[in-house]
Amino acid sequence: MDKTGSTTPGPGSRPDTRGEIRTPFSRRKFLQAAGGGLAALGAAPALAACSGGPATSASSGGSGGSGGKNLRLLLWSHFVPAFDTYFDNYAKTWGQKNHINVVVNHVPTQTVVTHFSSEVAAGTGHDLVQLQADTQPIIFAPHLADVTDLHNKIGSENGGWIPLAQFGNVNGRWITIPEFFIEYPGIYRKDLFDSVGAPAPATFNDLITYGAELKKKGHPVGIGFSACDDSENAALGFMFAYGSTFIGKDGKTITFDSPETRDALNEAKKLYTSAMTSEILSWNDSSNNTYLDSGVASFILNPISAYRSAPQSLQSKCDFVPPPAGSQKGANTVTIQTWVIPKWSKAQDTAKKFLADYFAQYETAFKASTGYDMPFLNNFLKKPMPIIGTGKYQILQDAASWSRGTGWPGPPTRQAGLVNDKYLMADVFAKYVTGQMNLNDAVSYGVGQLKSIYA
Amino acid sequence: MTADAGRIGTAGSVRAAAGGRGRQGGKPAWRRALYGKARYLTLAPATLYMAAILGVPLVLAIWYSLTDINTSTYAVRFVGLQNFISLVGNPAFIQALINTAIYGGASTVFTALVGTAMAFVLLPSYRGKPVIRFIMMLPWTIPIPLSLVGWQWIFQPQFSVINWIAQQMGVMSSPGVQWLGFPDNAMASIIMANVWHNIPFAAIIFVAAVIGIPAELIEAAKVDGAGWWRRLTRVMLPVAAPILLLGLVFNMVFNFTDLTIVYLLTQGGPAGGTEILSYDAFQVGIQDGNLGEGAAITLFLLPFLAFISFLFLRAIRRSRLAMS
Repeated sequence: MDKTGSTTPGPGSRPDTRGEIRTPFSRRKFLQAAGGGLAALGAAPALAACSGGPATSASSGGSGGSGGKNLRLLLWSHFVPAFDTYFDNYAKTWGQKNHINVVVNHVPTQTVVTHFSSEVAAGTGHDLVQLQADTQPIIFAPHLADVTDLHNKIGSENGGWIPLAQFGNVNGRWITIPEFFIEYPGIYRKDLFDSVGAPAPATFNDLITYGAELKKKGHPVGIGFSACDDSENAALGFMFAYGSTFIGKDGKTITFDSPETRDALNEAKKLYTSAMTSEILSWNDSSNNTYLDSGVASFILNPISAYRSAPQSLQSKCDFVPPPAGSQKGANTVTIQTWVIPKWSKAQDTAKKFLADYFAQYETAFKASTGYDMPFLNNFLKKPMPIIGTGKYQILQDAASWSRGTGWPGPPTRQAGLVNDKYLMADVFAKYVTGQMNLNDAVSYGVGQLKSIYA
Repeated sequence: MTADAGRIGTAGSVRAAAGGRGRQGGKPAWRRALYGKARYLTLAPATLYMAAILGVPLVLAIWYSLTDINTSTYAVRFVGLQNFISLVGNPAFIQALINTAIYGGASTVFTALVGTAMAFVLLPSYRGKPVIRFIMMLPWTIPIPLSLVGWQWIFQPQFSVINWIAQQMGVMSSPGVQWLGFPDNAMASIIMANVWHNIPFAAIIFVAAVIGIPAELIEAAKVDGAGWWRRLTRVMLPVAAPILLLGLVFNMVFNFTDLTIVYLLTQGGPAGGTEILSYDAFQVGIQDGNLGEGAAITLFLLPFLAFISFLFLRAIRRSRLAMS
């Protein structure tokens, strides 16, 4: 580089009068450009903060803190957008009434635990967090405040907690307040099943038999065997329907290698080959929604969001059924949303009061979810429930009876959570139904993976 | 440094103490010190910053990998290499290791090849080049999550645009290729998305390397009768090797440690077909809270990547020495 800051010759270079080569881009210009770029980068967060930033709503101005006069909430972006509108307004109104600065942060689903993990590592963060699985309070147990008094209060005021809510008790203390679970009924095209003379599908055998006929007509069954939560729930649904489990009641004994598991795998293979297409192997959590809403699917297992997002003309043709049965009654695992208060929060009492007041008017919240959020409290499950108490939604009122927690029949443990997070059961089913493994190898593979997780 | 720099009190030693600038007359002591060993102190802030940002997390990760630390208990127990040993005995981990090698290796190779080819579009001057250059840079500038939304639709099992076009052209039958439905297809798909994103980076590195080559070398090769291929392999690549190898190191490390594409496109499926070490570490370390095992998974590739990087950097140094 010469005294003028020029570089070696390159495109655009030109000789100057002193015979040295000058380029249009000098050291001065580089530093100016870099400085301008850094200034822009530095201004961006400040500008974002002034505008309130994405996915954040505040009851009053400012970012809030974690002192007694401030309350910061972290939760997902609800699949029903109207619920987030309701919740944010409720938080704002509650904050104004109680002279608390409430900040609500919504983040994309399945990223809540990632955010919370970083807060646990830092030892600071939000005051009230809604985790997305019954296993997650167990994973973070040492960092969560004791909410036994609140848990008992809410339970006693609302008819008690249902069995599905009996998680989050560590050494006699409750560390979480469950809010709702998301049920996974079967959603089927009544018009298509009527066209082949089939009744409402009650068993997997019905799906195999009538699904094969409907597949020929261009309307296959849509149950995923892929790396997503819906597929994992579906695989476990197959297992439960045939009396199979991967873990025992003690939460430690691996029970996957059983005749019941082989029955479930074989029935799944029959369903895949006769009534489904290979696209179910690549599904994500929105794929079955798309499948139904496109008019192709004759049957899916999914929360009612898939039905709600379908065109009105298609909704009139759909109906709901409980999860299909096999040799046993149908059931499947469900998504659970549950509140925790971190120990680092300086607003623990404020957070408890927020939850106590929120549950006192929970029927309003349930209505705002348009029936999506199934309560854990008996009083809110009394029939007829609002919104889902009439018409085709009625069977959803019994969702608690066919819904199972993570790691069922055992307790929701960290290891059960990892089985779920790695979509292990869906993985085993996919390997077998596609012929990648034979039956014994698939079961052995599943057992091996379970042993490494529960080791 | 001059030949008489070692003699005290000579003009040469003064020049040496002054960094060899050759100025006449004495200098203040502080200036001599600044150009002496004290100049290393000016590196201290950057060194401390690098140690804090890079060193502390690395040491912490190594410590975690040797313990059973997890978020569900405060008790921590030193377990030595147990985390690593249990990984090696796990078929799913071995599969993830193989998948990582395939994904990282193929992405690096294809990025280098296609990036080099793209660079030859950017080197010459022609009308409309700024527009072409802007379009070519878009994959690198668009945030990965945003571009993956597009790729999700491209690979969508029902509405794949590739399948639709191919079916309209009559070269594919319905329902078409399941891009993410089978392990081999899914691996090819994520490699495709990754290479697409990284091609502009490779192209820019190649262009930067080539424009630094003295024009007279190219001209001399032409005069000697060297064709395009010989000029490329015997002149351009050897001279540009230091920069190209550096870019290759960056690209390789990035590909072997990437998480985003698998996280957003396949979540490690189907049937573990695209499960790679970084995603496995995320599931185990973050989602499951098993920090010890997660750290062990993360560090598994460290010796390999460090060794490969060492080889590349040594080759760069030798290349520069050979040219000087």
